Amino acid sequence: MADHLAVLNMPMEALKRSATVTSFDPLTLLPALAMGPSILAWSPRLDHLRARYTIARRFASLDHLSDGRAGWNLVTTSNPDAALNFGMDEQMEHAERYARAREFYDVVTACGIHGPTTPSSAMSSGKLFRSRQSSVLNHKGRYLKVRGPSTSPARSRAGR
Amino acid sequence: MVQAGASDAGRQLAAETAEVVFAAVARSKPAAPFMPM
Repeated sequence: MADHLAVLNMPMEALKRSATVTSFDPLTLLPALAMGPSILAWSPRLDHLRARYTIARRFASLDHLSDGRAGWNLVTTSNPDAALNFGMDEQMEHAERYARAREFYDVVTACGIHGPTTPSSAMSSGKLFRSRQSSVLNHKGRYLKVRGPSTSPARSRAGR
Repeated sequence: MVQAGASDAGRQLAAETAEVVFAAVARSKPAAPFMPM
């Protein structure tokens, strides 16, 4: 499922016939779709200018709601007009979009709280997560500054 | 982590992080760089 953050720069007559013109916000739509039983592959292309901690948190929650069927495109959109809808004057170059994605990957995969493996283990131990200290990421990179840990619950195997 | 796209930056990202890589190469010789070492 493609996300579109700006109307594509196409001839009007082509746009009138393009399904890309309208686009649900994926993080509103996906939880509703997650209630269905189908095997689905979701890959909305979320924009870098939405707070990436929030993207990671929402997908960690969606990972649970969908039983591990949620995913998103780590690299931001190549649509140059999308930047104009998010407070920027121009789109980033290709290499920079990938550099940001790489750093985003590091933060997303390192930021989780590691909870008990099962609810019953939480019941027996009385502890809701294993370790807090080791989850404090204190990431300060070129594009992101995230202390962590995430407040999202432990992820499924698919959610790493 | 699933990666698609054959730009240098995309392939570098795949080399560092991906578990699955989509590649559309019709002949074996140009496909070789996508194969595990």
